[in-house]
Amino acid sequence: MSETIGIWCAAFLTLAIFSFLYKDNPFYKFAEHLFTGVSAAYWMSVAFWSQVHPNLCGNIWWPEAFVRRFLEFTYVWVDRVELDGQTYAANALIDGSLTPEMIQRAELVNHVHVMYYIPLILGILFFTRLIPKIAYLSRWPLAFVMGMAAGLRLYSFLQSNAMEQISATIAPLAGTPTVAEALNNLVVLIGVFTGLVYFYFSREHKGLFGGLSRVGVYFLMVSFGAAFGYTVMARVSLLLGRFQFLIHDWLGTMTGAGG
Amino acid sequence: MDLFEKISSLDRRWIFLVIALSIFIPLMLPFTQPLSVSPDVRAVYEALAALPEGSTVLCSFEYGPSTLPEVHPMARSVLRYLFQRQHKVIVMALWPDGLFMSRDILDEVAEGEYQAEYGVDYINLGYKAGNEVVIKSIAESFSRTYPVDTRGQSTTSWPIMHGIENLANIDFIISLSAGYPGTVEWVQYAADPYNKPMTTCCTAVQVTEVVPYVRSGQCAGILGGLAGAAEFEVLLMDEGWLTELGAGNRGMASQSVAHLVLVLLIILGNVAFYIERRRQRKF
Amino acid sequence: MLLKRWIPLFILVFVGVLTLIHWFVPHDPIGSLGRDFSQFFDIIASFAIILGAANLLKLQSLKISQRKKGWPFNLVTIIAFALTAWVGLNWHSYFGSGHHYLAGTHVNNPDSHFFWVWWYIFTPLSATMYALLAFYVASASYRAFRARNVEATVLLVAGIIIMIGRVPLGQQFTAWLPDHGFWSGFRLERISDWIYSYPNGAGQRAVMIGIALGVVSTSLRLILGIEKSFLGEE
Repeated sequence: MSETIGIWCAAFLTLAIFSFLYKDNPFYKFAEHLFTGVSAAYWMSVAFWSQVHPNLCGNIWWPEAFVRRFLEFTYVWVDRVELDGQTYAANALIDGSLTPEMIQRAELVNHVHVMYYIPLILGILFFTRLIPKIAYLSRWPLAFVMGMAAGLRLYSFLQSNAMEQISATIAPLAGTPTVAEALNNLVVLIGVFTGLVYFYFSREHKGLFGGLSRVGVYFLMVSFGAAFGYTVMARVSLLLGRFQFLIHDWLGTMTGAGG
Repeated sequence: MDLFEKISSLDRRWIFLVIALSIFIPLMLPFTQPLSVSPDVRAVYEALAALPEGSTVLCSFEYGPSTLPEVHPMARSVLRYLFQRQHKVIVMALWPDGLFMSRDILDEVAEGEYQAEYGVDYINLGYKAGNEVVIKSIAESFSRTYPVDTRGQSTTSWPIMHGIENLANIDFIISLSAGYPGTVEWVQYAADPYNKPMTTCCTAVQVTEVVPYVRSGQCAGILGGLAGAAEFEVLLMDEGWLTELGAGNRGMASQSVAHLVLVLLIILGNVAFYIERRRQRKF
Repeated sequence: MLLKRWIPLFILVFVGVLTLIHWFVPHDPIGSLGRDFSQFFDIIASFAIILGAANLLKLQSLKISQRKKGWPFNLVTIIAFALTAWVGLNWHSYFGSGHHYLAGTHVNNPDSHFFWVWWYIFTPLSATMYALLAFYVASASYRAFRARNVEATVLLVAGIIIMIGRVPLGQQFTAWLPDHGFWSGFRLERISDWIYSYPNGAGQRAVMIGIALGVVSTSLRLILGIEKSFLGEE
């Protein structure tokens, strides 16, 4: 039953979005606003259950009585269970292998990592953005995120997107097996070099430099053309997916063929 | 107003209708045409075929419902091939909805078609927030990054994870990608620094972004969009791994007609533009 | 000044330098600190998502309280948010009974209400929004994709060849050409493959190298404390 209602609901929302193709209307507006609300809550829930709950809450201190009282919520935070000289994995708390009486007697070992108060504090500081007077404090977590991203990307982009690419442009020129491959590699070398010349803005694009930059533009245009072709392919595939849903899943529930 | 002026000022809703029909009609009246397999798709197959039976393959799901029609058919074919070759499949997701995508495909292929045993033949580690940091993190330790799997059990308790401490123990990486984080991040944070072979099944939009990695050998081939899925199905069937073509090929009729209609529209628009421009120059 | 400028700058430089060193020195204490920082990054990013949701609620509520045009639709957003958040955060929210009510497992359980919302509401909305673009790409191509000069013509021709050469019906136009030998190179799929592999590959590589150099220099400026625009400074 919930599946049938779901399919009708999905079909209504699909058609509501498509109705925008004719003109803006209340059905589209409804679907659009519904999407905003649902997706915000969806992402929030996923972020909470995948990070905040296991990784943050699991590393900071909680009263033991609380952990014992709400085991179905807190078992993820427990590192191991010690009972009568035996050690159990935290799963033993919820999979029925320990009786409630045994759990009462057991020692729930949970390591507290003091360092994890740092992301807790920084995370909370993000919310100062909502209070204009102290909004500047939100720069702290932002600084952490930016520092991390800069440190990560500096090396990865230098290695994978610059060094490896330059090497892959030049290296095949030596020892190319066939004339056709040699010509193709030459095309790549010319394309990459002239393309980079086009991106060099510290010098006026005139004379030989201007000519090279113009060749570079043609290569870039081919890339944009290819990107356009592939974008069309992608969008058509997605539209096809929606049509397949409407025809097979939705209309199928009415004829009894799908669902 | 003559014909060319009419063409130039055509209401866009007519164009919408033409595009809708170009997809709808072939969907209702499908036809098949032979499809040629491109070298990059063949490269993916060859990279997978070179793996010895029983290798450990990491499949990362980085797409969601919006790109499901493109990437799902590729994921299905790739997993069918992996299970037929008796590889151990470790599944994870860098997108939250990638988790649902992986569940859907694993339910269908691993459990439905091959009766693969969870925890022995495959495992689903689930989603973890953090994008490329997650990749860096599994490069050091799977169990620290994923203490529990999607069934809520300790990751290390499953037989498939015995001896799999980090990325070094993985034989091959497959990124099923629709954007950020995705194939680019796998190349930058896993394939290059740890010298791991990998390939990608990505959306058509991503193809041009990933192609330099393929040309430089950082990524072994590429399955791009629905056409990539269709070509891979054709190849698997030619090699005897599939008995019938799948969703990739089923969509090719509509895809073909829509592409041709769009090209015709562009040509028509340009013809009208030239005739208009010529007339303006005359007067 | 200390709270507004120096502390965030210190955090940025410290974290940036440590992350950079972590690439080359995986041993402790750098190794463990680097791993912890990775985890912190994930947690802080999750807080940012939650902040985003809070901000959305704040803006929507403002529009409702001021009775701005179309305010009932803002109410739809808030109700949708509240209902989804309820089934998302309440781990007992299932169809039927007999489930293991374990915190967080409902998020990926097909019997949960959260999954239902994701599959029957979020999925069609998100997929159709993207699919809508097919129509607009077509309309824009028809109206604006003109061969006005050499550059635009190159773009147009490359795009058309890729579009035709990648689909089976398009490949039929040159299917009469032989499969092997010199003339096979003129088959549409081969021309499309060549354009995609070489001129397109070269252009994309030039873009990639250009962006990489930009990212490297910006990251260096950040880590060295030269780039301070995130502090609202020039």
